[in-house]
Amino acid sequence: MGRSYYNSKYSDYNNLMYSKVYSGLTLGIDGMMISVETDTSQGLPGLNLVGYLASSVKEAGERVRAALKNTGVSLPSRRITVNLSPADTRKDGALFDVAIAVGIILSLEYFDISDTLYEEIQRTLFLGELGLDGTVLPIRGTLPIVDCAAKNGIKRVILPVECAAEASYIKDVEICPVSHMTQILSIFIEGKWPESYVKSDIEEESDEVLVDMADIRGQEMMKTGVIIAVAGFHNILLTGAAGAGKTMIAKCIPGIMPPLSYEESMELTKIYSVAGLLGHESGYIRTRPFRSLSQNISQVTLLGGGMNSRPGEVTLATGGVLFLDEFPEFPRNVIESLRQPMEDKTVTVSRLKASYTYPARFMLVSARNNCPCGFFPDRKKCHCNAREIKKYQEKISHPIMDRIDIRLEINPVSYNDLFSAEEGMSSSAARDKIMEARERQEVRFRHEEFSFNSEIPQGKIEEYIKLGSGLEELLQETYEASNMSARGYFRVLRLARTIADIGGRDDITLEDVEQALYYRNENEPTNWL
Amino acid sequence: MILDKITNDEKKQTEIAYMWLGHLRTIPVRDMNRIMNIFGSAISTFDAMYKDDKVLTGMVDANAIKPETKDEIMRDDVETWFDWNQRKREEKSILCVTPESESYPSRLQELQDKPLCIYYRGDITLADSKNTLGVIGSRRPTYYGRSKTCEFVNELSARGITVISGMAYGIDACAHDAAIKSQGKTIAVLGGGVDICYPQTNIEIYTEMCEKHLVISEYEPEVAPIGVHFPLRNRIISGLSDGLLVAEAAMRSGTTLTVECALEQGKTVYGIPGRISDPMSKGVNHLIKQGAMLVDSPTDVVEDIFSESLVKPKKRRRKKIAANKEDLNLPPSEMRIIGFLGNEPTHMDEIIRKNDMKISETIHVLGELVNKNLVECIEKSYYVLK
Repeated sequence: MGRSYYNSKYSDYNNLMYSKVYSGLTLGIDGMMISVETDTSQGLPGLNLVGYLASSVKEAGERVRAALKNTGVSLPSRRITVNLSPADTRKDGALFDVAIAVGIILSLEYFDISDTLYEEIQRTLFLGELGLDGTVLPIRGTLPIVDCAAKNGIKRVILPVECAAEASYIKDVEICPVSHMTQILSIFIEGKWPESYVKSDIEEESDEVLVDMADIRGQEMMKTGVIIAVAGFHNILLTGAAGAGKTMIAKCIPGIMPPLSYEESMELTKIYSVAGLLGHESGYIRTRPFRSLSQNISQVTLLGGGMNSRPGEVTLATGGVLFLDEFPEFPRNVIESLRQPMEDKTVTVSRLKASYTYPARFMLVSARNNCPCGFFPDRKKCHCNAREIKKYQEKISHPIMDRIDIRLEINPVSYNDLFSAEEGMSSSAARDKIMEARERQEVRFRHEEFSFNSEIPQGKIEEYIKLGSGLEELLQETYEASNMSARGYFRVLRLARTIADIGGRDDITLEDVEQALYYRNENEPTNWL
Repeated sequence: MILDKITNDEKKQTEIAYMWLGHLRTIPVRDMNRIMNIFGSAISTFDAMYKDDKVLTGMVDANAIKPETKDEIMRDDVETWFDWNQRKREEKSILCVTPESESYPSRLQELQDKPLCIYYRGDITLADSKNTLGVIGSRRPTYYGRSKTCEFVNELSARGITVISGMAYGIDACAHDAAIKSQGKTIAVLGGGVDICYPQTNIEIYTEMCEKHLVISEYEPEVAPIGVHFPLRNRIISGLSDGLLVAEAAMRSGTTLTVECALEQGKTVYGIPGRISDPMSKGVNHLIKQGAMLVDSPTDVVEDIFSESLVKPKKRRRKKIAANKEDLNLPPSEMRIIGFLGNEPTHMDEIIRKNDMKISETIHVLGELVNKNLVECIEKSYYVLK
């Protein structure tokens, strides 16, 4: 056994030895195991931390020393060296504090630790930040780290109480939440591990619907468009006069989204864990995200990056909706930077130290007015001239438009509609339709990595989307007559597939293709002016 | 005499005198015409006024000119100015005519405030066409205004009437465009130098008109099209026209100013009526109430002023479609939508609800109708009858 080897060869029996414990960190949204090695030797007294550390980790020495002192363990005048390996990976954050403290205690041999306990400790992961009084504080990125640790043979995780809920979704690992250093010390003194966390069975269903679709009168066109978009995960742009109901329908979308699958849920929880956005109570993401952006957003917050390479909004919206209200009012570089994530469904953030690839599988929901004053096409109120309107509409470039499958022009609600007794389609009816289309897609793509029609890769289009002979001709005609791009052509096919799915048809009919072409509206005619 | 330094040709001298008098920016053209009538001719006016402190002071005292005009004249130098003017005209291939020359538009000769010099590109004889009609209207028209303008201009220019307008946004551009497309002739009167295309969006029309039609202005090359010029150029539009057609105008708009000029010049004003509740047609409807002639088809205009000697248009396409609607043998669903749609843009939602149709069916039927050229999609989801 390693430690007795070191004991006998290099040091007095007392207090001078080597120890190794495990901790972890996140790279992008993946976890990684880190081993914390501690060596105590004679020499100039001090606590040295090495291993390519950011200053937050270097400062861990001071935190650990104070935390240990305040829990009753004072460090002797020895030279203590702590190495976090692998040494070529940049380490950032305060999540190694607990592991460093445990490593120091072990190497100092304050307590008589049996070989079985040492073996157990070797199969334990230590996570958590320390306060100077010895409190264990919550950390970011628990889920991906625990997931990775479980795959690497770790059986038990010691972590802050607040992070227990999210970690409990990883099977085969015992989760032992702690709130103070004393609980950890009792492991060594009494050989007693902290009580393991029991997942509460109360699944609180958050059926909180912001707006019900039934509240929106008339405008069946818009509703159908939104249902298609949600069912097939297609990007959508709502254009219309101010007050036409664009934002309202967008707010309906969370209420009609299909539920998350286990894999999607896991991925999302990892992302939110890394971003530090998980709630401590439920600890798990069950609903699809709806990220509404504000216009002062920067490219870094949108795509991810910054000092700690945090995931951006496009990643946080994975599996859900990225909502940009008043689309043309966003800075141009922000709008244009959506091009690559919209096409690749991933976003790569390159930093000086490393580059991370985050998932970015979002559905873009955007809304805009037709002109700067917001009233067009009502010429009685709109005072914009043709040039202004054209300029405003051109703020969204063609490449971005090309990636938007459903472009709806919304008519303001008339007085009669507003107060008509008959209610439109309700959210639950819409959800039923969407679920039906969703199930069809699930069956179709059961052997595939993707799950929505809009995500069918180019190479598999022929396999999944078959057209009758008449339809090919119609598409060819449209392709030649309009300035449709090749990307646009395939996007129409995917959209037609979704429309047929909603209608419950296995074959794509002429009307499906016509509808798809209509919603996509390649030509964007403005003969009005 | 200072003009002798430039040329000895008396005709040329008259021309330069007119041009110089016309280039003064601080004096209204009407006043300058009056002064010229007193002095007798352009040359004598020039000789009397050019840098003659005594005469100018006298004129300022008699309230004939403003002190600014005196300053402007005193600062000016005719030789350098003429050099510049001539160079610019050659560079930009702009021509000019003055009231003494033969090609000066005869309709303008009678004006009390006739332009002293007209710069132009294109074919100046168009200004003396037998039948001319001014077409004016709102700069931000509704679809109705645009489509009616096109309809009227199409037919009128097919009958050989020269269409005159101001090449602004909206109705103006629409009138020029329709005239060009229906092989007619058209004249644009600009509010700045002839070399400046304003607004830039009309560059296609402008280029076409400089080559095959006529673009005129009373301003020198490179004069910016500023706001105060536009009401002034309106008098030229109405002056060149035999009648003035108002397509669509809101209350208190620039169009009303042009109409005032036209009435002052004794021209007939025609108005295409709009709905009474439509603020964009309030101006036209008001004009009609005041006595402008209500026209509901191009023939009304033709019969009123151009009755004699007008070529009948070869084709009357619109009538044909309307007459054949029943013969087209459309399926009932298409017939129903045709019956439902009108001149007002109608949103898809409305078509669906009022006719109780399914979305997929509506898209299909509308697509068919657009293909058959019976219905037009003017903006995504908005449809009108063609």
